[in-house]
Amino acid sequence: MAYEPTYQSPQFHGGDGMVTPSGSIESQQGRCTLDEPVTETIMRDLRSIGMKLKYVMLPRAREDKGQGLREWDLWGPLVLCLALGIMLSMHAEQASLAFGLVFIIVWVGSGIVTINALLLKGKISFFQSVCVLGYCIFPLVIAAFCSLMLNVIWLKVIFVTIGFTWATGASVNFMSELLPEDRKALGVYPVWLFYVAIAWLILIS
Amino acid sequence: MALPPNWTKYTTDDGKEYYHNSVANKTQWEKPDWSEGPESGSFHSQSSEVYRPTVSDLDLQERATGTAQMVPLSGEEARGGKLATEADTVSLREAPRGVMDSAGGGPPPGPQSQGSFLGFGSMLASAAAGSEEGAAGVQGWAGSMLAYGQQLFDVSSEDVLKRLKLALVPFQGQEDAANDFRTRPDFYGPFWVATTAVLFLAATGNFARLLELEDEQLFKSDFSLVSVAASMIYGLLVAVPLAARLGLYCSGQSVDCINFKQVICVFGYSLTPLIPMSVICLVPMGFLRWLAVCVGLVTSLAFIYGTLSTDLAVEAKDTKGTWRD
Repeated sequence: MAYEPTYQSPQFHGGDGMVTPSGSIESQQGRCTLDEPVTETIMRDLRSIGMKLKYVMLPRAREDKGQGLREWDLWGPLVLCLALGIMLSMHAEQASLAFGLVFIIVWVGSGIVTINALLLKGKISFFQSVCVLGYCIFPLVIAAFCSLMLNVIWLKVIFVTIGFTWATGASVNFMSELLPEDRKALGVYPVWLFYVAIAWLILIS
Repeated sequence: MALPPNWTKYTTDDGKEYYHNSVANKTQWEKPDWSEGPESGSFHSQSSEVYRPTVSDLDLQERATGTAQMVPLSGEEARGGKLATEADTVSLREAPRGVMDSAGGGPPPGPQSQGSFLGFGSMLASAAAGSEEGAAGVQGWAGSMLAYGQQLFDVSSEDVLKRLKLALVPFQGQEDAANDFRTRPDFYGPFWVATTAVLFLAATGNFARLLELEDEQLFKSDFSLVSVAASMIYGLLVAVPLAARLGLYCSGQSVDCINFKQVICVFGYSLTPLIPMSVICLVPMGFLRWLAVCVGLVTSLAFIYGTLSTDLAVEAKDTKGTWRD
């Protein structure tokens, strides 16, 4: 259907060209996210978190060096950190101190490890690295959950050790991949220290 | 879709698209031909000198490959008419995001950088977006801070291992070691040695308390040991070199005569004996603990003396109580 320009000419708003017109917003993928139901949006994020968690647990994460975590998001690490903090502070005397310590060690720790890798001239994206370090806490969270159920010291030690080796396996590969040749050990050691700190926190509570 | 210059595409509330020429102030429903483009108005010479559009350049879905003069604001910005407008008012300026191009050059980072960050924010944003660029894509003072920091961390694994060994067994190769610290101080060692020491102290402190308790079930871990250890060690790391600097200042020497980074570096490495010391102190024998503490202290002091004595003795000859033979 053709319109006469003079009869129904479209109104031009503004003269400097900085106008955001009305209409539907299209993202680069051509997907229109305004019209979908809210549950769909939330489920998409949850599914992506679940997929990444599963990816961390599989041994495949060690081989391709964390490629599945390329699309970073910080929800997963936040959920894991909160879960860990709640579990560790449930039976502790200094509950608030324990929770705060977990939070600080996880977030500030992964930030410092990433900044360290950046300062060593590693080619690392800041948030992606924080995301990988956060997601790789997942085996330790499982170990903490198991050790919460049982109270036998030796089983706790075994679980935490298994969780620790699993966690370091995936993230160390990721980190050493992006560092220059002669500094791999320098960049990997803080990662190891980070997981040791978390494992120790789990062990002593 | 490709538009001639000065033409902008808008969408009405009903979803119909119309086109507006900002130079000739014309509005029409039909998509303008290319013949209508560059002849409009006095802006002709300016736009034709500045920009020779090709159809593929104005394809706003593509990312820039660096060939076009104008950096398109990436497909993410193609929301309705806004990007088409920006594509219109062309000039030789770069994308107003400012997220790019200091040391690295190359294609701009991906479309995830939103808004205009400053400083650290821009570093995070560009670092988040450009995963392949790393530190190269950072601009501004954050970039220079990063470059300065990278200078301080410019060591390889063997260097650090060598220095650690020297700190633990300080009576070997004094001369070249002192030289090494003087020319290439690094901050990696001090920081991570201090952090490891904090963790070890807190861990062994808790563990020692557990060992001393008869009934294991009664053990409640003391998390405040971490904060005590952290404040102690980081405080030492900062305070002692500061005190040295203050002492120099009070004694009338110019503070620039000592390489301050070297002092911090040496002092940081001298904290290394703390780590085996704390492990040995787990054993609940009083005599062994005192012995470990004394040996650790002597080792640290010998290390500091060995590496810093030449520098400090020369510059601070007439100061009492320092490295005088």
